[in-house]
Amino acid sequence: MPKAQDDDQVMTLVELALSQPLDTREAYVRKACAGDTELFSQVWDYVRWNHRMQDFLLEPLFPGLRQHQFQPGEMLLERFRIVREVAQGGMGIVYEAQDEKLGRRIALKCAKSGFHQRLPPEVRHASEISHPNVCKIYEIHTAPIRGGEIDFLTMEFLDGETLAERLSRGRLPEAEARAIARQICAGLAEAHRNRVVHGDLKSNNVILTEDANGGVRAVITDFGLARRPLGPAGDNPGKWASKTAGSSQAGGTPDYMAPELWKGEKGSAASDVYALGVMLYELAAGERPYPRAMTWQDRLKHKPSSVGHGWDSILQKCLDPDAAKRYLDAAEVATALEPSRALRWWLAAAAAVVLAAVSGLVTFQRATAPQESVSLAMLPFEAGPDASALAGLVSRDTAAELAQLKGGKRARLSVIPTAEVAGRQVDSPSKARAALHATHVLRGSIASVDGRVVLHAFLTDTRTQANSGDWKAEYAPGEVRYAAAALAGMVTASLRLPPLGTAEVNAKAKQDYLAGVAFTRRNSTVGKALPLLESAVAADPDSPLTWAALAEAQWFQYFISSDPVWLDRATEALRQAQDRDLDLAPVHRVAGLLRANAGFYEQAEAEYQRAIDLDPSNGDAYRRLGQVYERNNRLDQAQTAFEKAAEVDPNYFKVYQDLGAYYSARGNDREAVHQYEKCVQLAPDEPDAHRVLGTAYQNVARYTDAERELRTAAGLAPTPGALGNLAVVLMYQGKDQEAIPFLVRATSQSSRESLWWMDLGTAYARASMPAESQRAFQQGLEQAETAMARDPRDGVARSRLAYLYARRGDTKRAESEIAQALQLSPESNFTQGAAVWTYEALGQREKSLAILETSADDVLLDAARWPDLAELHKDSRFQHLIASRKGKQ
Amino acid sequence: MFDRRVQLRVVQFAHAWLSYMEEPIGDITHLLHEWRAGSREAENQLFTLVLPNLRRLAHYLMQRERKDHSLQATELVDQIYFRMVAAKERDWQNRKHFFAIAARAMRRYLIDHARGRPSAEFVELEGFENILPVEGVKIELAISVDRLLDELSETKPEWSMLVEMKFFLGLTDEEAAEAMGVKLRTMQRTWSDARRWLYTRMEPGHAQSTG
Repeated sequence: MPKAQDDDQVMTLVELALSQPLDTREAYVRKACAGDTELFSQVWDYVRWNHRMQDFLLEPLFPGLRQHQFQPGEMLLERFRIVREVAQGGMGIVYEAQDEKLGRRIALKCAKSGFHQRLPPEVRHASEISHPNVCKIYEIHTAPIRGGEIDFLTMEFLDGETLAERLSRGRLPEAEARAIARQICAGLAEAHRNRVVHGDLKSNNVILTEDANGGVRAVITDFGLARRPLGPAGDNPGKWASKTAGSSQAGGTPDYMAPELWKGEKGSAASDVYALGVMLYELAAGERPYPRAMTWQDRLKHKPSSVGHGWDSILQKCLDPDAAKRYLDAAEVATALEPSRALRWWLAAAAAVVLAAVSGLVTFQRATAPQESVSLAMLPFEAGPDASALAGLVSRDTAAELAQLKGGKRARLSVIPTAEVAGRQVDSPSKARAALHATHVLRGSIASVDGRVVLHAFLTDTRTQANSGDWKAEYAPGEVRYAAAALAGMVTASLRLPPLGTAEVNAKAKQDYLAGVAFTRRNSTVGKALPLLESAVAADPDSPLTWAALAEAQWFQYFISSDPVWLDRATEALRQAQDRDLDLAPVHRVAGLLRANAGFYEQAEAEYQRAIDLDPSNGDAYRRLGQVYERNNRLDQAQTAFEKAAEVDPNYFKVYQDLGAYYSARGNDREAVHQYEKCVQLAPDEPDAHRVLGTAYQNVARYTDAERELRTAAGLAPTPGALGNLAVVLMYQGKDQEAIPFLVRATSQSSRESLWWMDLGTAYARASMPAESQRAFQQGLEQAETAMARDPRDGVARSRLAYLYARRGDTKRAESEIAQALQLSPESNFTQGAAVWTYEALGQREKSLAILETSADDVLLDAARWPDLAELHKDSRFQHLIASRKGKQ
Repeated sequence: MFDRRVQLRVVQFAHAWLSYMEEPIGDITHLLHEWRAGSREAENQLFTLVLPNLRRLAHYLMQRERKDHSLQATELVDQIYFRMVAAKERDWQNRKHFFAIAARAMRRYLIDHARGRPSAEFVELEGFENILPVEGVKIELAISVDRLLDELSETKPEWSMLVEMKFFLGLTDEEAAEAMGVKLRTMQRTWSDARRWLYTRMEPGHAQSTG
């Protein structure tokens, strides 16, 4: 819908312009419109009028309640007593409160009420970060309030001022500025290491408080609370014309936004680095790098002015308009800021090593990262009285495992003997650093809970106090013997050291194991893999490999069947594998699948990266990495990863299935066909391979080839999808009579799917069987109505409903439904296509032509190919449209 | 896990409200349909049906100084909708119409009271003087806007509807966009256009100025 896009463009610019000082607005808009005079006049008109009208009608007649407010003294969940309101932010109100149960002062932040009252799920990720320079989130709670409930967060209470407030009082002394800069970098680096992106970093989100020694402590807040990027909508999309427009404080987020965010891309580590650069610039220079009035196009062209004192090269790299040229992440910035050469080495290694995930493929090609020196000490495990004997055993076994660890290409390693640790009574990371010069300590706690042994271990960097590893496991008493190997695995995985030897499968289990793994490689044989791998696990329950293989087969069974039981089983089998050894390529490859499935793309990436490290010959790790990149919209990296998979495992059909899907989703049908052809060549008896190739042929109008492939697919596995697709290809060729029996089978197997009823109705109609046709349309209508009731906002489903109403002769309903569908899913090719069918069925030629005029080429071409639109094809306006579009190509 | 908890909350939320509301009403969707087709009679019937619940809404908002307040207009209208519209009719189009009628009813209700002559069919609202802002200016403004909206609705019904939602019902930008079923930016543009239309007619010196 071009109109809606115009609205986005125009109103976004209006909002940005209104945030500029009055005297620079016109120049700003002129520049931002870059010579587009029509756009300028529209935008400028709104800007002028909004200025003139001030807050006319902006306050409702009687202001409804925008937000739930707690009162001082109020008690929440019989535990948190509200002390006072501290601040009102974009995200919600912050209170100071007392946690009566733990007797500590906390900050309490409420979700904003409204349509989307819950806290964003990213908060859960953020709550995993533990670092002195990141505000600690304790928990998410839900409290009942009158008539409903409200989500709130409890977190560390910070008494101090924001960095923005501090900066507004003037430039900071160099030493203080550097200290704050380093701390912000350290906090952000720890977040990036946990694959958490801040997304809305700015000086308002950094609080300056005092550390225990009276020094300054900078703390980053509001991780995971960044609003979903709304294009360049800036800080406060809902209040674009509010009274604050024109003032230059608070809502200054646009100044911290990396150029790619202005273009509507998602926040990333690189965009965090940009925002970090802006803050560092403020710290160094006392002002922001660009004047507020400067448009982002101009910011792309101009480097900020020099600040001197050795900051410039760092700042320029942070503020590079090209995200790929910036530092990979905050850890790299920290390195650059750090004067000490040794630490610089270490941090560079950590950046390359630990942060692989954030930078993706770039990193696994950077094999020449500087070498780090790791000096590792293990502190005695903490344990309650009932677990102290156990803790002693685990400590002893783990020490034995650690003693065997060796350094590798990425790091030299020395392990400090436990006797030395005990002799000097070292019991904390800082003591380990002071007394033993340890760079890292392994520490943790063991408890016995309901007959299970709960182990929680950390690998802590003694310089930054950051945890580079964090591992929690629960063992049955008989399984505790695995703990030492798992802990050694945590150390090698976290520091990317060579693992302690490879796991094996015993002779009794081997045959089943190998056969099971082979069957898992095809969706059609996963069913055979499951019993084999279950018996492999029974024959060798000590091996992490049998468990990992079982987890993988169970995951695919879940993928195929969508039955959540299999997901639970896979999760449990993976836990068993990890409890035996964390740091094995097959374990990382399954862990990645499960992390990605839960939406933790960055963590999944990290798993795959480590899998590649350990076993670069396995194509699945590259392929899955590509899938994660693709889902995370990092397409170049996805393509590279898929190509790498093809290089490593050129004979595996799934590689080409992935590549085909990748190209198909990008609209490159020809390349998709090419890839799917390879896929079929390699797996001629895999029904899905033929089905996807068939639909790809259909998209490029190679109907004979499509029919052949889909017949093969339906022959191998007559699923409703294969039968229905085959029928549709026949219909494209005008063979409606032939299509009917396939559609009858598809509808009988999958009677709730309105699509096949819809096609069946059309096929009957074209075969001059009006009564049957109407019956099929009516059936489809009922199913589509049911689907609609499940999700009224699904535009694609609604467009089907519209077409079905049109075929049933209910003009009014059809018109209303299609208008809604177009509003709900304006960009969808399917909706647009269905709108053309609907308007044609209603005899409203003008409307179908109007849709086609602005639709994508695919929609137009498909309309030209669909035999049921014969009347449209005869229309000279349609022919003209086709000719003019072909002329453009 | 997160999602399940949210659903649970919605259910509890609805449940809490049901106990506050009037008995279920007949075929409200039919009336909404008639109303969209231009029937004044349907509008009057709808007002009669919706107002008792809106009155509760107003009460609720009125008590905002008390500590147990918690809800905002959208949520309340949604709950009224939930209560009044039969489950199978509860689609997006109907919800939009319902918001529109609720906003219009609210406008009529407030204006009639502001003018000091409530229509006979409206239930008297206790403590109404506490709802409207104290400054007389704002009431004057509301009466002027109300007068102009009748004219506006003839040429730009969507603009007029939006003014009702934003100004009389007090929806946020996001809520109004959702209720209208348009993108946020589209809603903001329309809102700007509508404000400007009203503003130019209310500026001092304009022929239709209300003074």
